[in-house]
Amino acid sequence: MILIGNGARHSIFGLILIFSTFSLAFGQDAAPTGSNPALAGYADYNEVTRRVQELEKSSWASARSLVQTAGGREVWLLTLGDPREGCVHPFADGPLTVSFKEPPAFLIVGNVHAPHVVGCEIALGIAEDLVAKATAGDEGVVNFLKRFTVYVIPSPTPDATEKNFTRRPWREQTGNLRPTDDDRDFEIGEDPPSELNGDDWITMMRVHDDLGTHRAHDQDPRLLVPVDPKKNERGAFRLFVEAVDSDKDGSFGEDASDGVDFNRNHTFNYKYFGKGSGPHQVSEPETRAVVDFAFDHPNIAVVLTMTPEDNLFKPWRANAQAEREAIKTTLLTADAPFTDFLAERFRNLHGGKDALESPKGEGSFSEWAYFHYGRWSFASRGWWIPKTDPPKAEKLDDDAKTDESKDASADGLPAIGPNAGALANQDPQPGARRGGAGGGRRGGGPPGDASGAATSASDGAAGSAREGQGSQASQTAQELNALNWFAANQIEGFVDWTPIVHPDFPNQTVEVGGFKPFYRLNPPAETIPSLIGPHVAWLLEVGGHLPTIELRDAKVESLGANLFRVTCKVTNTSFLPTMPEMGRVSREGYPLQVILEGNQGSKLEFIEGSQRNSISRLDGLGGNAEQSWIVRVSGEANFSGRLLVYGPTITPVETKVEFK
Amino acid sequence: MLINQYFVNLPQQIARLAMALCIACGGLNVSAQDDAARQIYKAVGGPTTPRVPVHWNRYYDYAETTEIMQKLTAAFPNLAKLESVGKSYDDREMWVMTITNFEHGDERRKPGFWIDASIHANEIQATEVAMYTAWFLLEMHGENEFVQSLLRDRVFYILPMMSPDSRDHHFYEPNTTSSPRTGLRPVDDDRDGYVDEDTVNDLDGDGHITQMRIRDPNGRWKAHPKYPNLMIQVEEGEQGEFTLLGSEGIDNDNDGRIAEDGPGSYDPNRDWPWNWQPNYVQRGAYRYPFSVLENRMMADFVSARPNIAGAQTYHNTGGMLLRGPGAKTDRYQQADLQVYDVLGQLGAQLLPGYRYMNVAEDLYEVWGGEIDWFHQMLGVFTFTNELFTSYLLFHSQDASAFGGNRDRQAMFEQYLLFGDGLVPWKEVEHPVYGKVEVGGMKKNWGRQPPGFMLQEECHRNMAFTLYHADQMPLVSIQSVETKRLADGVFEVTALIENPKVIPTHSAVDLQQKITRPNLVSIQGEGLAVALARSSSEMLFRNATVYEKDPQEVRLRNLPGRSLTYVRWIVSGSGPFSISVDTVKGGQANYSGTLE
Repeated sequence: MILIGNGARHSIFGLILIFSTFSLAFGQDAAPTGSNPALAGYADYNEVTRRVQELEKSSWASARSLVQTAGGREVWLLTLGDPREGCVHPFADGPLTVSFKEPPAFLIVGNVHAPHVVGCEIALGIAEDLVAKATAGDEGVVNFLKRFTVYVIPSPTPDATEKNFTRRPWREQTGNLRPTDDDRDFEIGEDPPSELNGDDWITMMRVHDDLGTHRAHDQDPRLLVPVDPKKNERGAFRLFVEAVDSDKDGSFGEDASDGVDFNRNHTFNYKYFGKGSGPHQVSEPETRAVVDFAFDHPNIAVVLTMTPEDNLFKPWRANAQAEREAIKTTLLTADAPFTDFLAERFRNLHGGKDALESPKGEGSFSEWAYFHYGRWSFASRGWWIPKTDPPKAEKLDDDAKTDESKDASADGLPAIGPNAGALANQDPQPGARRGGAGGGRRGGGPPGDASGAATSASDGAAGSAREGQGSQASQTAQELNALNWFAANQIEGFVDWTPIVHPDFPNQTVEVGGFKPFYRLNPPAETIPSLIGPHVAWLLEVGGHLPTIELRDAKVESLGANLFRVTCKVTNTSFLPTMPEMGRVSREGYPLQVILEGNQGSKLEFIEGSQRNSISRLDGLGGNAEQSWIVRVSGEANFSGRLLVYGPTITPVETKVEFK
Repeated sequence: MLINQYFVNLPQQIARLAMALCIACGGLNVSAQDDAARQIYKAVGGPTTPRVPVHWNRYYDYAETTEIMQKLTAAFPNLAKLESVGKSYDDREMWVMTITNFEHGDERRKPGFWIDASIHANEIQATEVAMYTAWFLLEMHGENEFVQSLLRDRVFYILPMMSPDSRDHHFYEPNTTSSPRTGLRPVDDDRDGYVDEDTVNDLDGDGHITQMRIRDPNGRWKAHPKYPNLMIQVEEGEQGEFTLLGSEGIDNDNDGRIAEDGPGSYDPNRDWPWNWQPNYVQRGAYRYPFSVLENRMMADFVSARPNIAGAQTYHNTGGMLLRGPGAKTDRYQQADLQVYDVLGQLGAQLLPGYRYMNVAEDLYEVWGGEIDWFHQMLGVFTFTNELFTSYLLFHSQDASAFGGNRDRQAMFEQYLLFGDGLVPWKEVEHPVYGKVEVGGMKKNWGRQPPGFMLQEECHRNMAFTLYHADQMPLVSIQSVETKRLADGVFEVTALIENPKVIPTHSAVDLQQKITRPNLVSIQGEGLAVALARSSSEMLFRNATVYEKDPQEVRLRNLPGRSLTYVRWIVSGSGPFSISVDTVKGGQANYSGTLE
């Protein structure tokens, strides 16, 4: 059963949760349910809601729902900021758009890739940490929250996330509850992966076949690798996701009606007619709610997304050639120094090593935030499996060579590998099973999701955008590393190959086994607290780099006949420009507005220049724009006025001018 | 569902009442019988005695158009129904008329033709063309066999006002012939924190945004010697009379720019999912596809009707029959282009002065246009007619540019409109420039035909669209032959025909798997089907074999103007039936006996 909210929330959030017919039709779950052991200790929807409510008790935070999903769940938005001061805008009483009156903001979005539940934990953890520190009077955090607003959407696609917590058999599921025809055969959900060996994990199945496409790996025969035709290798297996071909179309487990994936539903590099991408871009209520929220808040300066498509350890690369095209698809050269620097700072604070290559998004949120929303957009995986030495004496000095090693006897025979305990030659942590803390370095190494296309099932047979990245050799190296890490930490993350009887292969040997879902994507829950600190430290540091505008060299010269020339230099003294170059190119960034106005009693007639100018973008580190007016001043004596600069992503500044 | 909520403001209400009287006059003065008697000598090609008389030489606002639709549906309850797909941003109904012979067949299973209009609301005659089509189909149903068969076999969905808010804005607010192209959602166009704070200013208060000029002996402009309201540039060394100051307006927000932040500013026809790109790639996209909710509501309606097999979306101007693709990097498949060519080439003959073209190569690039969505995502053959062309002014190509040759246009205005298309220059006080003169083309002249030409525009464009609709697939079983192979074993061969130009599945439909295959099935009590084959020719030399579920053959396509042979080998005997069930091409049935 999917639970729709709980009673306690109503009074706090003033929401009336109604079962619509839609949520009745699609929100209820015919699939078997349970509690995913791989996500033990992680916050499911109800727990996220409880923690959001808890945060709302603080005067530093407020919460509201952006939208209710088809499954009747709320997409929570937390707003953190100084409850008393905030940013006092010079035009706060005027007809200015509301969000212009709010302080410059960060938008933090967790868990865009639904099985990546650690993304929700980190986003929520950041909010909790900031509120706790502000409450405790931590000066750095208090000042940060006085200058900035922090919007946090910990779980933007809660229906999809909840499937991973409750819907058996366990597999990584990315989509919401919209019924989808994943194999486009005009039938919906007629061929899902199926549980065949009774362990409740959807893994892989291998069919023994001397003309197969895969062979056992030389180093660890539990792993399968594709045969290399350039080496005249011979296969021993055909590899499928654990499934019966229910619709007899020759494909296995290719249509579980997996719904629409939030992280494939955005406008940049959208994959039409793709699995999980939805009927069109931004088709889902939750996608629209998040995107509309962003567009309605021009004060958002920086977006941080928790997602496997990391660009902090693997920064996006600029490409001067590609960016000449009218449609931008690569980080702009002008933005690269800034993103590179901030990414390096993140790596230093995080301390992780050996990060995986990041998959390229298709309709992903974090790429949208830069390419179509025009904001600084950073993406963090948060965690990946740390590099772990093999349990045996010999060490591999180079990941890439792993696959090339020549010590084994892959002759096509099925090899049931040793169990995890036997592999581990390191001292196991006492009592450690799933969640054995301290076995590896905190936060180092590659996360699991992107690895092992050969021996893992993720999101049905079609796989997800997070798989298949990097060379086969590096994938295999990651898989070997994962096995080492499982062994070292006594985590049962791999299902040994065991024979089953399969109706579609009546006279062949079929075995089920491979990596369990989730274990390479999310760390043991005990690890989570240690992942929050680096993100918070980095956010505070980025805050210090956001533009600070000064009005320098403001001058008034009398030209006689009550004519005055007013000049000033609008100057950005911080590291970051007032917007990314992509913000200017996309026209989604907001220019600075510079106003010269007379105080009460002083009437200004603009002889040269308009009362208000706009400055599209100022570089960092002293980027400036000179402003100049000639005005005729009339009215009472003691003529004076002021110069003002404002824009939604900066703290407004003003200075007094005297006409004399 | 009829919702009477269309009184938007008082002027409209008055206009609507006036309209109601006007419509009533036609029907009240003479009874239908008298009318029939008077029209014994009929002007061919139109209804003799319309139940809902409408003048097709004038334009109708939202309330008037709504009323005509209501009257038509009331007058033809068995042929038309009216519903709203939702409310626009400013609370107007998005009306759709469904027109078919409801007494004959299930509307949702008939091949459907979609017509919409005036997504760019300033392109106002598009609505009249769509409305004329609805009127004509209903009024002619009783007296024309072609129309009768169309409404028997097809269903028309007509949404005449895609941007109803902006239609009324064009009627009742100061505008040019080119505005508003946008919807009316508030957008901070100049990104200064103030929304819609610097819109146009109608300095002379006449409802038309015209030009400003200022007397200047050193100016580079003068009045045209023959058409004094027309401004022309002076020759090198010649004395001028005026300097032009652009469109009527004031810098309301003191930022040095005039009218840079009016209502909206997005283009509803850059809001469609296929090949959508944001505003920076081309001006006009709003936030994301279907962020213009009027479009989203329409798309929901269309997507729920996979029987739609053809579409027309009317615009102005320039005399074009446009097909996609909108972007040069995009391609339509060859088989689909052949269908467009057949339709478009005939259309260009029906519409003198109109050219059959494609958007990306012959016009300009459009990312996220409606017709690309129809074709590339729904697999539906779709045209945009760009209504009206300066060719029609004097039936010559000498004025073929947009808006035409200015001299010829001025001549037309002077000698055929008698000065009704222009606002004569007059002096007004401008808060910044001082005394200026305003004048020039009215908002209702330029892109729109004058009244006396409107009905012909309506009729000819409708004729092309009805041809397009008639060429939607329509399946039939031409014949069924049975042959006894042995005792109790028969070969049954059905000949399935689609005589129309358009296939049941466009090439892109087949590629993207948009529409389910056509189902051709044989049934009979005690009949066992052993095998089925299909072929495009009688000898089955290129047959497809169906071993799985042979009683229900899944034909991927019934191409345009094609015959498909389906042959079963069955055992058993007695009565049997064959049915052809398609999504976009209708159904056909046959009954026989095996003996």
